[in-house]
Amino acid sequence: MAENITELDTILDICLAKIKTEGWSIEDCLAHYPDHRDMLAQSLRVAVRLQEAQAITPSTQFTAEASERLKKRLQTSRRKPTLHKKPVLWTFSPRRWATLPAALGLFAALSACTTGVVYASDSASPGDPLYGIDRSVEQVRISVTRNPNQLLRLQVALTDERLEEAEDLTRRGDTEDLEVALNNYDQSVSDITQLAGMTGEQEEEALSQLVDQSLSKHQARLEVLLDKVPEQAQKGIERALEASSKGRDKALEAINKHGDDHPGQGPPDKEDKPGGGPPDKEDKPEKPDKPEDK
Amino acid sequence: MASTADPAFSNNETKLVARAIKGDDNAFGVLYRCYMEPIYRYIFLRVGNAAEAEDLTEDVFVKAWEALPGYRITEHPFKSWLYRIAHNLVIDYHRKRKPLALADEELQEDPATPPLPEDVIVLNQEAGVLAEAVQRLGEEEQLVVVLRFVDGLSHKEVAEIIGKSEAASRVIQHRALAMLNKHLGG
Repeated sequence: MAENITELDTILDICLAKIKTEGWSIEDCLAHYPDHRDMLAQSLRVAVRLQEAQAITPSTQFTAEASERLKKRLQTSRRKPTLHKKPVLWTFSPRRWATLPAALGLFAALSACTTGVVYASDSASPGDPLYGIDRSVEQVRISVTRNPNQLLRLQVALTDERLEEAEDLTRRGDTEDLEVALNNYDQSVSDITQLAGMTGEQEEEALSQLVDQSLSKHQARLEVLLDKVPEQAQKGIERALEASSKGRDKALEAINKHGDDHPGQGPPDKEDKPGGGPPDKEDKPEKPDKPEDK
Repeated sequence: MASTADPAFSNNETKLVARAIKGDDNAFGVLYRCYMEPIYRYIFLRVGNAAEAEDLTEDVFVKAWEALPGYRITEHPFKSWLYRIAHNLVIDYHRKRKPLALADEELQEDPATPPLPEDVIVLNQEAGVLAEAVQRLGEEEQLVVVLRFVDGLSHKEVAEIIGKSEAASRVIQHRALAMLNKHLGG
């Protein structure tokens, strides 16, 4: 009995994978496994229906407010947060909340102007009156971006903006705010490495290329800055160079981990026709080698 | 958030969890973003009410935050630990609350609410029907089918959460699917 269940379960997993990745229908699966047809039919129909529930998501309002609400609850919970060294993906500080209406307006305007690709189009730098609004707009963008790959792309664009801010302040000779800008840059690179570990296998190559090219260019730009800033600011640039170089290596390692850790993973059978379409009715049933988890 | 199953994420997750254990709410915020949706789905299908599921989802993470100092990274994966907390909260919720006619409650229209697009209504209706059928299963069966097919966990992960063997998880799944098929009029 247990063996039968294991075998049926393995076939069920194979069928669900085929339906998801190769467009098989339930009928295709049943035709492929005629010996298990009756048992498989009921399990498969229910399992497919359950999988459709993956589309269930919390309301937009809940999602938009979730981080801030939870953060407030943590602050009043029995265990108070103690470290605040990395303002990573949380939403806003109280000071930033004050700029939210303006930020939302700006975000709406930016959204209306752009064509889906995120470009950092604002030009304020640390010390500028509008800088808080710029960063709030970014936080709104981060909080509404749910796809990990898109989030990484966005973070790369934002990191580029951090560097532009440092370049702008160097041109203006504002070494005090330059230090802030460089700290922000280091933090932003750190966020890239963190997000790189969360990306999916899709677009692995494109994302690697994006991170590699962006951060490599940053290093060249930082080298240029190094020659331009006074001695007291050089340490910050050197630190940013190191952050950029190490961050690039770590991010690439994290993105490319998929390929190393999933050798041969994919649809379980290898005897299907090229193109992976639904099977012909006379195809031989697959016999799973051994039961495996999905 | 299928990416949470990736080894690269797991590696990163361990670091985030370690930081959260030390009290870093920013790190916990990243974990929240990663797991909020799957935990919500899991809870929704077990309570059948969107608003209650949202509140309970938040409660899961507050409880997790408070319990984090006692969490041992090496003992159970963080994800399994979160689901256990969610599972216990759902049980508490059902204990405290008398069963309601789920479909009526969930699908009742609020006159003040603007009408939803047709595809959303269909999804909500289907989700309500499914949630009602899931809730007619035993607790263990509910847990296994939702974790396996809605949240996409492996039998190994499910076994860790329910505290049984992988073989037991398969048997429970088999039984649950047969019962669900009956409840859904198959």
